[in-house]
Amino acid sequence: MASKKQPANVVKGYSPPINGESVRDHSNDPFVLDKLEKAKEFLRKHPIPEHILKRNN
Amino acid sequence: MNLPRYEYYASNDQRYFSFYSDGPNGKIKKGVVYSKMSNDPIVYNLAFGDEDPLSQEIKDDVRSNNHDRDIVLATVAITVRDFLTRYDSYYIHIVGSTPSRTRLYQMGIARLIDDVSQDFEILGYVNNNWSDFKLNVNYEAFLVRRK
Repeated sequence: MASKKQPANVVKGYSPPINGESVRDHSNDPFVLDKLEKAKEFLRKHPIPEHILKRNN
Repeated sequence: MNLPRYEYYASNDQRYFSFYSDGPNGKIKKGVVYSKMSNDPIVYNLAFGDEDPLSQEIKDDVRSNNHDRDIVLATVAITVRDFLTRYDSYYIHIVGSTPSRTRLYQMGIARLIDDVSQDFEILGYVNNNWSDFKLNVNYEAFLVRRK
C-alpha cells in the first residue's frame, strides 16, 4: 500500500521553533479574549486544589 | 514527542506561535496564543485556531478539514513544551471552545501521555475535581505544568 505523502513542512523529532517578531501578537483578538474570560471564570469556580499546588513546591 | 508535526514559528517571548496546516484545502495558517489568566499560581490559557486571512485574527469557528488533525495536535503540543520550558513554574490551562474541541485536546494528550508524563504533570477536571490525567476519562478541562 502506498504511503500518504506528507507536506514538505512536516518534520519529526524536536527542533526549536523559528523565532521572530513576525509572529503576530493575537492577545487582543476577540476570540482569544473571550476564551480567556471563560477560562478565568472556570478556574475561579474550580481552583487548583492546595494539595496539588503543594506537591510541586 | 517524536510524532510528525509542522515546522512552527514563535514570538521572541514564546507566547505566540504559528504554523501552516497543509492539506487538501490548501495552506491554512494556525495560531497558538498563551494569555495570562491568574497570578497565584501563574496560569496561562491556551487559545488555538485558524488565522483569518482577511482580519488576521484567530478564530476557531471554522473546520479546516485538512486531514491533518494528528499533525496539528502534535504541533500544538510542541508549543506547550516550548512554553513550559521557558516558563517552567507556570501552569497552562487548556479547554476547547466546545465539548468536541475539548475531546480533541484529550485525544492529543492521550497520544502523548506516555512520552510526556515523566516531564510534565497533566491534570484533568471532571466531577468537580482536578486529578491526574487518566486515559478513557472525559475531562472538561486540563492543566499542564513541568514537574
